[in-house]
Amino acid sequence: MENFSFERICALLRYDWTLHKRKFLMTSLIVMLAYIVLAFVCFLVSAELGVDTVNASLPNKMVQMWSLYFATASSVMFIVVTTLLTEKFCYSRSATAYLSLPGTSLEKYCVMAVEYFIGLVSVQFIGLVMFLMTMGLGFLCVPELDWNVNYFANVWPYIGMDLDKLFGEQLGEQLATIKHSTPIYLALVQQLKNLVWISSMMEPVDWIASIALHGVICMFFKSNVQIKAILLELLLLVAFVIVLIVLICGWAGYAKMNNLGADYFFGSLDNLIAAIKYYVYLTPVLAAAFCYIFYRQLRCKQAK
Amino acid sequence: MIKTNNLTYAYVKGHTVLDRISLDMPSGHVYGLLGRNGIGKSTLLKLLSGALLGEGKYLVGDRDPRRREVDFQQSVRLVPENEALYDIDIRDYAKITRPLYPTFSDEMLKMALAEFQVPQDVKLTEMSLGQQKKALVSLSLACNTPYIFMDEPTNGMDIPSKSIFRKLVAGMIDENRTIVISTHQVDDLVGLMDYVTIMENNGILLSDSLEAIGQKYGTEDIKQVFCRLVSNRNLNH
Repeated sequence: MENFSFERICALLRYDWTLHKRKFLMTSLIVMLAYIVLAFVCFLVSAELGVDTVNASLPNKMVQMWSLYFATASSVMFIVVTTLLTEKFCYSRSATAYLSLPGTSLEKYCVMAVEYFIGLVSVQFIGLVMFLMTMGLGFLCVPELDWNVNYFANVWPYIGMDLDKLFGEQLGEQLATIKHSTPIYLALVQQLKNLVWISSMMEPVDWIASIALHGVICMFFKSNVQIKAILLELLLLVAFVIVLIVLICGWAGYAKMNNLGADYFFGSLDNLIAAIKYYVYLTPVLAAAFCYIFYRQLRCKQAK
Repeated sequence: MIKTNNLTYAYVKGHTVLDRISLDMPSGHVYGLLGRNGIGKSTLLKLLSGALLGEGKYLVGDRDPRRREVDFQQSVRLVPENEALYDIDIRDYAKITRPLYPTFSDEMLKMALAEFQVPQDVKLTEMSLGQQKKALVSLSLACNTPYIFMDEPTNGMDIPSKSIFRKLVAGMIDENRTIVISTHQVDDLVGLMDYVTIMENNGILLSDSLEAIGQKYGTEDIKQVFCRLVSNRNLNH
C-alpha cells in the first residue's frame, strides 16, 4: 500500500479528535436524544392503534420499548452520525484546512472510521446511562410488578447466549448466576457488552457497509459537489425512517385487526426489525457501489 | 515554482470562478494576489493547495496538487481566510500540528508568537480576531513549508502587527520558498511583495514583478495601477 503510514493516521487522529471531540460527542448525544423521541413516538402510535397493552406490565413495556430502541438504534446511528460526520469532513469550514493536511485519502478515511467508532461507543454509553435511569424509575414506581428473567431473554436474544465465549467460562458462570437472580444485572451486562463490543462489531456487515459508503462518498465528493453527498445521505436517512415508521404502524394495525396481543406484536417486531436491518445493509452497499463507479469515472476524467 | 496552464474552476456548473488562468510564479518570491472581493483569489489558493480540484494543467513545484500526495501536502501550508476556531491554546494546536509537518520549526513559532505578543496559554476562541489571526499565521509560518499560501492574513490585525507580519514573512523568504498572499488591502503588502498578480473577471489582469510594472506603467504604486487597469477594463467592456 503506497504511502500508508500508521504514525500519520495517529497524528491525524490526534489532530482531528483534539479539535472536534466536543462537537463530536455533542452530536452523538443529540442524535441519541432524537432517537429516543422517535422511539417514544413509535411506542405511542402503537398504543394509540389499540395494540393490547393490558397484558403487558409497565416494566415489560418499557423493556419492549428499549428493546425496539436498541435494536434499531445502531442502524439509525450509522446513518445519522455519519451523515453529520460527512458534513464535518466535506462541507464545514474546517474541511478546507483538513483536506490540505498531509495524509492520503485512505489515511483520512481511517481517521474518520476510528472517530466514527468512538462516536458509537459514546452513543452506547449514553444509552447505558439512560437505560439504567429508566430501569431505576421502573423499580421505584412499580416494584411489585413482574420482572421475569425469561422476558429479557426473549426480548434480547443476545443475552446469555455467548457470555462464556465473551467473558470466559468462570465469569460466564458467574454472570449466568446473576442472570437467574437479578435481571437488572443481566440487562446491565448486556449494555456493558454493547459498550465493549458495540453492536456494530456483532453486526459487522452493517458497520463495514456504512463505513464503505461514507468513505467512498468522502473520496468521491472531495472536489466541489459535496452538497450532493449530504443530500444523498439525507435521502437515505429519510427513506429509512419513513420505511421504519410505515412498517411499524402497519404491523401494529395488523396486530389490532387480528386481535393479537402485545407479546405477539412485539415478538414479531423483532423479526420485522431484523428485516429492516437488511434494508439498511443493502442500501449503503448499493450506494457505495454506484459511488465507486462514479468516483472512478471522475478520476479518469481528471487524468486526461 | 508554481505553473498554471488554462486552470479553470467552477463551484457550480455554468458559473465559472476561474476561467483558463495561466500563471508562472518562480520560487524565491513573495506574491501579492490582488483583486476585488469574490473574484476568485481564495479559490485559486485552495486549488494550489489541493483543497479543491480544478481543470487544466497546474503544478506546484513539480507536483500536481490534485493528486494530494503526502509529500506535496507536507510542502504546502494554506492559511484560510476563515479558519475554524477551536477551544485550545496555540501551544496545544502546535503540539498536534507538529507531527504532520517534518519541517516544523519550534524556534520559528516561538519567535513569531513573541514578535506578535500572542499569549500562549489563552484559548483561540477567547482571543480577539487580530490575536487569532496572529496566532494562526505564526503557526503556519512555523510549519516552515516551501509553499505558504495565505488568504487575507492581515484581516483584523492592528497597524503594528501588520508591520511585524511583513517583517516575519520577509525574513522567511529564500530561493526555495514561495509565499502567495491574497488580499484586497494592497497597503498591507507594500514593501513585502515583489511580484503582483491582479485578478479581475475570472481571469488574470496583470501578473508581473514590481520592477516590470514600474517600467510599464511609470509607477510602482500598485493601488494606482490596479485602479487604472480595472477602470480601463470596465470602459472597454
